[in-house]
Amino acid sequence: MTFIKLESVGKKRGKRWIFENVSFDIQRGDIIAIVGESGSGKSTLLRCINRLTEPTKGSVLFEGKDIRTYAPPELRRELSMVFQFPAIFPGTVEQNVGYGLKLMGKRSEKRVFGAVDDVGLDRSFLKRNAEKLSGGEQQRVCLARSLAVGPKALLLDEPTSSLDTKAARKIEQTVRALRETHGLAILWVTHDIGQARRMADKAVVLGKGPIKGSVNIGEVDGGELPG
Amino acid sequence: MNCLADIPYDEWEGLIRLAFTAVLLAIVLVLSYMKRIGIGKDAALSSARGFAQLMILAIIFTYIFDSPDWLLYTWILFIAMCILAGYTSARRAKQIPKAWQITTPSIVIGTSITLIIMLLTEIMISRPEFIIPLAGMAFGNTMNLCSLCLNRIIGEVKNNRARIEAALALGATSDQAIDPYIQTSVKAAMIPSIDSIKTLGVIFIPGAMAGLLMAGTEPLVAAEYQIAVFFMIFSAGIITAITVSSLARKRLFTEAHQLKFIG
Repeated sequence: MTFIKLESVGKKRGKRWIFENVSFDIQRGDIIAIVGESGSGKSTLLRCINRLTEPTKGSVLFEGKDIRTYAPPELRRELSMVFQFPAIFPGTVEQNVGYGLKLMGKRSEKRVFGAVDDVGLDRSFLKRNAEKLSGGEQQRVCLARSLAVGPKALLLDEPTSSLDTKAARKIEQTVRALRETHGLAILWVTHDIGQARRMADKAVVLGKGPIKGSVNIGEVDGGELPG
Repeated sequence: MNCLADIPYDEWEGLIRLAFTAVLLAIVLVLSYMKRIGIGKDAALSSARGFAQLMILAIIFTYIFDSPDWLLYTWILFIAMCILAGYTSARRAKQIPKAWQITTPSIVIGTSITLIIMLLTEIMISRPEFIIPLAGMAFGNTMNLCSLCLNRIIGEVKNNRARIEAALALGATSDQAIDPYIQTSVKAAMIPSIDSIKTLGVIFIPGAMAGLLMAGTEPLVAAEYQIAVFFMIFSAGIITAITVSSLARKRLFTEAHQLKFIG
C-alpha cells in the first residue's frame, strides 16, 4: 500500500490554477523535495496534504484512505508540518514542545525530552523562554514540537529559508538523522536546488504542467530554478 | 426640594431656554474659527442632527408613555434598536461577510438576558419610562462592546495567523487554536467597562445618577440605581462579547478546521 498518494491534485485561486494535475507517491523513509519557482504553489501543495488548505480537485490518500475520511486534527498529527518562519507560542521551550501532547491529554515529559534530544537541543533549553531563542533554535523547537506528537511523516515548508547557512545545515543534518531513526517520510519544500540535491532522493518540480510521479533528484535541471 | 419635576413646563419657555444654551455651541464655532481647528461645520451639522433626533425621540416617548398600547410600541422600539445596533456593530467588521448575522444575535442575547433579570428582580419597574431608557443604555453599550470585541478578534487572528495555523498543524481543533486570542479579545473589550466602574463617582457622576438627582430622587436611591445600571451594562457586555466571539470563530474557520483568509 502506498503511504501517501496524490491523484490529479489541483488548486485554483480565483480563476487561475496555481497547479493542476499533480500526481505522485511517497513511501515511508522517502525524502522528496518539492521544488519550483516562487508562486508555483509549493507551499500550497504541502498544505493540501494535511488539509490546512482544501484542494480544488483531485484527492490525497494517506495509508490507502482519502484524507477527507480522517478527522483533520488526527490527520495533522500523523502528517506534522513545520513552517517557513518559526511560529513560537508564548512560553517556555517545554511548553512549546509539549503543546500537541497537551491537546491530546497525554503526559508529556518523556516525549518532550525525546523530541528535544532528537533535534539536538540541549535539555537545559527546556525552561528557557522560547520567544527569546535565535531563529535556528526556534526552528529546532518547532521541529521538536512536530516530532513530539508522534507523526508518520514530516511536511517541511522551506524550514531553513529564514536561517543563516550554519543553522540551515544543522537542520538538514537533523532531518536526515530523523529519517534514519524514525523512518519518517519527509516532504521538503525548497526553492534551493542545492539543498534539494543534498537532502532528497527524489523531487517534484512544480510549474511545468501536469506532474506524473516524482523524478530522481539528479534529473532536475537546476538551471531553471532559482538558487 | 426644587427639582426638574417640580418646574412647570411651558413649550415656548423650554425652546427659549434651549436657544440660550446655543451660546455654548457658538463658543465652539467661534473658537474653531479663530484657532482654525476646522470642526465648525461638523459641530454645527452634528448639533442640528442631534437636536432633531432628540426632539423626535422626545415626541415619540411622550406618545408611548401616555399610550395604553405602550407594550406594543416598546417591542417595536426594541426590534428597531436590535437591528440598528447589529448593523452598526457589523460595519466595524467588514472582513467578516454578513457580520450582522453574528452581531445582531449577540447584542440581542446579551441585552435580553440582563433586561429579563432586571425585570424579574423588580430592579426595573415594568413601565415604559424605565424600560425604554434602560434598554437604550444596554443596547448602546453592548453595541460598542460587540464592535470592540469583534474588531479585536479580527486583529488578533490577522496578527497571529502563523501561530493559529501552527496550532492547527499540531492537531488543535479550531476552538483550541483560537481560544487564547478569543480570551484576549473579550478581556480587551471589557476593560473600558471595568475602568468605568473603578472611577464611578470619583472622576465623574454617571448619566443615570445625574438624571435621577436632577429629577429629585434621593442621592442614595440614585446611587443604588446607578450601580444596578452598571451591573446591567457589565453583564450584558460580557454575555455579548462571549456570544459574538463564539459565533465569530465559526465564521473564521471551515468545518475542516482550516483558517479562512480574512482581508
